[in-house]
Amino acid sequence: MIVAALALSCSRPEWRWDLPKGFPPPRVPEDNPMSTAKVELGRRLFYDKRLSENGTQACASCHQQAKAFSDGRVHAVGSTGEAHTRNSMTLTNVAYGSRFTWASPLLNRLEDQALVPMFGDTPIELGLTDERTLVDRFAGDELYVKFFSEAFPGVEAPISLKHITAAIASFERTLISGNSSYDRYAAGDTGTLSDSAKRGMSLFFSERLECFHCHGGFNFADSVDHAKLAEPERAFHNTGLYNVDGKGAYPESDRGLYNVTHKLEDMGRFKAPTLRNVAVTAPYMHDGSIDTLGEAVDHYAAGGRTITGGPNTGDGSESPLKDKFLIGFILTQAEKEDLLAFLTSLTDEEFLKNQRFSDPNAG
Amino acid sequence: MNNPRRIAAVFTATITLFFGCSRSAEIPIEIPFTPVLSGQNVSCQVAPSGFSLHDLRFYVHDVALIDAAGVISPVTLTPDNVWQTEQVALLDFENGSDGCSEGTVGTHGAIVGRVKQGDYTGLRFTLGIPFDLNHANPAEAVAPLNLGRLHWGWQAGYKFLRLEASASDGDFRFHLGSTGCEGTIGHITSCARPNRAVVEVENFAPGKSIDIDLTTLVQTPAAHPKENDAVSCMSDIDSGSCREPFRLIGLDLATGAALPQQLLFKVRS
Repeated sequence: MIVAALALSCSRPEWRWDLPKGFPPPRVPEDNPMSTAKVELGRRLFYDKRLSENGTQACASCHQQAKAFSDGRVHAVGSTGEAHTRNSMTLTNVAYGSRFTWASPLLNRLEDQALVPMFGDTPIELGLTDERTLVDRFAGDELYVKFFSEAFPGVEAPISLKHITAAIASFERTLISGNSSYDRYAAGDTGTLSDSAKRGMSLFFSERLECFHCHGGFNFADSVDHAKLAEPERAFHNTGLYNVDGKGAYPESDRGLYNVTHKLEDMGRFKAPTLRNVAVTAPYMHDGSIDTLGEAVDHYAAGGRTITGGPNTGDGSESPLKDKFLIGFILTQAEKEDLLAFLTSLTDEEFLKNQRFSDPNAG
Repeated sequence: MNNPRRIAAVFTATITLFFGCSRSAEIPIEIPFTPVLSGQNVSCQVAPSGFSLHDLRFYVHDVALIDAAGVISPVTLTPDNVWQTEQVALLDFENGSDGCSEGTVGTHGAIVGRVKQGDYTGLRFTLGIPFDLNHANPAEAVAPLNLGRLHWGWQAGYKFLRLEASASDGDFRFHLGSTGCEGTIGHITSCARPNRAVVEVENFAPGKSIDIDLTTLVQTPAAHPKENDAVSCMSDIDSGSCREPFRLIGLDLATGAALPQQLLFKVRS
């Protein structure tokens, strides 16, 4: 009895999640348990421009808190000025992602995902070239020497690439958003949602619109993982944005999951991002090709996008590869406004301003 | 029987025999590589007019020498904590400056190891990284697998080869690695296209060096079917840019299997 109690108290981590109602604990890799010191170090690194080779960008350059950790651009632009083919994703509730980036079946840990923007070269994002350069930058900074040794106590070389990505991942796992007007309404505070948003909520969860099949559950997403799931759920969808050859092809610049698997059925399949804070993460889609939330709704109402003219001409609604739930629907103008009111009620103002997520060196 | 002197003598003889044998049978070997273009040596500083090299790095393993009878003798790589482990070597021709500003300062232009003494007529190596090492956790990798720029995060492995150059016909980028991998990073179970080229070079003997002949390879922009001014092959099976680089390096683009012949590596004459 005593032994068991001792063992439990020893293995109990110092970290305690402070989760919104209905949110399960995130699944945390066994080799990177959460700790306050690690999260604080990760927060500093996330905002530190020394994470880019030329010292001009940090993670936060493309993941800005006020925009729910997205950047408002059509395409992200890296530290050397090279444009990405993709739109910066929100980091809202990234702890609950089962796969990372817009369309990778392989990246299931934030620790590994971090290496893509840090060292990737097609395109260059942060533009780092090797571990030593990076480690030397922090080894010469007394404050960081202290932070690393606190975050990774009793380790011979606390400052390492592994620990840098471990700390950033730990910080990212704390970016949890679940205090929107919708959440307060769901928790019983009926005054927080307008009648319009309530009507929009009914539309959202209807079989007529089918939104919730991909944007379902507590995180309004379907590639989800957490500690209470037996195994991670992963899903990728073709939403009929393109159909350049009549057979469902996406432009060669980005074909989603197909880029990795080269299986025809994966053409144009991307992750359904969380809809939490979606009103502040414009523009939309993997390539930022839809400017506003209203136009995103129009796209789904049409059951796919028709492009007339230019190299991407084609009728996405006729794509044989588009998701079976992309059936199209007809909304009155009033219904569309209701739906948009509901989507806007998913904005968590506290999350966008929370000091714990902000630049530790600012004001 | 238990005479200590006798035991010592036997012991000494055994040691002498053991080391004596291996010493006489194994020779150190260094196999230097040189990038060339139209018969001229190429580096980050020096190149024929209209051409500049920006990066050339590749990993090799399973290095062996072959004798006239076809007998294959493996080369044991000499670990140096920077460029070579016992399993894999990185050949690095960029110096982090001049035309190659995005790389690292150090260079490593030769495979260094030991091989059984013999009458060799050929060299064989595999261009790439063995499966287990290729898909291990990159943040815990040791040199030469700890170079972030050579890790290919979204493919969950490494770039076996990273060649970047600009020629008068246009820019040229060739990143080679395994594609179509299944599983998750650190736990990859298989890859549809391994893309490990098995390179055989004839007429090789210890003391000779290998040319990496970029001439045909970097002229491919002109032959690029899309009339694009850049060739960018990221080992994508659909990419027209990949056809010629894969053929030259000795890989089947569609299956990722090694072809019997490659046209990139030649013995320096």
